[in-house]
Amino acid sequence: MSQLILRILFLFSAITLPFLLSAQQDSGFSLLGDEPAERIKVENAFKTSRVVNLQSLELTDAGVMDVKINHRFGAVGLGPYEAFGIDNASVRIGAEYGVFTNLAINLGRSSLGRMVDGGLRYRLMHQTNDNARPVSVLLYAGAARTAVTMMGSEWVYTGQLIAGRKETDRFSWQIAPSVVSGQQGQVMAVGIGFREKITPRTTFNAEYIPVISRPSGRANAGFYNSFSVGLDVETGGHVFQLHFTNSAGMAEPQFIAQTNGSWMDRGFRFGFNISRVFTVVDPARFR
Amino acid sequence: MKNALILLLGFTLLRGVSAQSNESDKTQLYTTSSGTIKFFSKTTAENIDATNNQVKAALDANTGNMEFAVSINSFLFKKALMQKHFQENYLESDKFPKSTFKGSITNNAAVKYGVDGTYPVNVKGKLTMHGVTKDVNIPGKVTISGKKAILSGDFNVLLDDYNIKVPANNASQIAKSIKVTVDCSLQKK
Repeated sequence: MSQLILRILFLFSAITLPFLLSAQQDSGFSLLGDEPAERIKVENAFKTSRVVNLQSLELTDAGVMDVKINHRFGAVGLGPYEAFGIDNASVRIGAEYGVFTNLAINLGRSSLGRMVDGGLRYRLMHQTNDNARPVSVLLYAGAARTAVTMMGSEWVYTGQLIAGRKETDRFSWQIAPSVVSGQQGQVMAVGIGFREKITPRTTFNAEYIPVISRPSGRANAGFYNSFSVGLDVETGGHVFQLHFTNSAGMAEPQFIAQTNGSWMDRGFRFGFNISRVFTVVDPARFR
Repeated sequence: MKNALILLLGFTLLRGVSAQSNESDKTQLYTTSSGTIKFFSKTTAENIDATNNQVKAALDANTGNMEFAVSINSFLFKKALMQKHFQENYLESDKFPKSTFKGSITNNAAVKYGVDGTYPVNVKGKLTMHGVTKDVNIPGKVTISGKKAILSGDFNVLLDDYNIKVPANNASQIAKSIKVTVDCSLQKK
C-alpha cells in the first residue's frame, strides 16, 4: 500500500515538477497566475475494450463501431499431426457500438457452441487525474444463447463489475467480479488483468479468471481457470491482440465458466483478436 | 513594545497596499478562458484538424506581455480514434498535459488599446509543448473593439522541433509541419 502511495506521489511530482521549474525560469512575468490544476479524465488505460478475453476498462467511444474478429486455434498439445492446433479454429465475429458517452452495446457470434452473445456496458465512474475519482468502474450485463443442438439450447446470463486504475502512463490494472448464470447453476469468478506498455504502440497484457464457486455435478466438472498472456499491437486504425490462452471460447459464459484447456497439460492455444474502429456518428454530437 | 509591533504591522500593511496599487497601475490586463486554437495537418492521404475552445490567455496592454495555456486533452477531433492517438502516441498528454506560450508584442507601442481598430503585431516568445520549449516569432493581429482585444494569427509548427515522432507507416497521413491558428477574444479586466 505504501508503495502504491509512493508511486502516486512520484507520478504527481513527475507531472507537476516541470511546470514548477518552467514557471521559475520564466520569472519575468506571470499573467495567468497560479491556476488550479485541471481535472482531466484518465483515458486509454487499455488499447482496446478487451484485456485478452476479459472486458477491459476501456469503453467504445460514443458514435464509434468497433468490429472485432477473434480467432483461437486448437490446443498446442494436439501435436504435429494437427500442426500444434493450427488446423483447428474457433472464431467469434462481433461488434461493439458506443451509443452514448458512457454506454456501449455489443453483439457477437461464436463458432464454438454456435453461440450468439450480446450485452450492455455502462461506465459508472471515470478515473480522474486528481484522484477525486481514483478508479474507473464499469458494469456489464450480457446474455448468450447457444443454437439448438442435441443438448437443446439455453440462455446464459453474465453480470460483471469491472474496476481498475491506470497507475502510470504504462501500467494499468483491473479486477472484475463476475457471475455466469444458466440452467447448470451459477458460476462465480473474479477476473484480474493488467497491461504494461512496452513501447507507445505495444503493450504486454495478462489476465487470470479464477472461479471461486461452481455448482457440483457432472455438467460442471473438468473445467479450469482461464489464464491468458499476450501482446497488443496498435497500427493506426487497428489493434492486433496476439496471445496464448487456455480458453477456446471468447464469449463470457465460455471463457469464464467453461475453459477446458489446462496450461499444465499443453491445453493452451495461440489466438488473436483484430479490432478495427469506424466512426459512425460525428463525436461532436455527444459533446 | 506593543505599539512598536502595531506600527510595524501597519507599516507593512501600508506597504503591501501601495505595492498592490503600483502593480495595478503597471498592468492593464485582458483575459479569457475560452479562446480558440485550431490546428490543421494536410497531406494527400488525409486532412486532420482539431479545435480547442478552452484556451486560457492573458495580455498586458502596458507591456505587450502575453501568456497562453492550453490543455492538450481539450483538443477535439472529428474521429475519437484520432483524438486517442493524439493524446497517447503523439503529444503524450499523461506526461505533458499542457502546452504554454509566454511572450510579448515587439511593437506594442503601435497598438492603440483605447481606439477601435486592427493592428498588425509581431509576437516573440517561448512555446512549450510535449516537454520542449522553443523560441518562436509569430506575426498576428490585435483587434480592439471596445473592451475587447482579439488576438489572431497563425504559424507553423514542425513536429521534429518538439520531439513528436511519427512512425514510418503513419508518415503519409500526418504532415511534418502543422498549421496552428489562434483566435482568442480577450476581455478587459
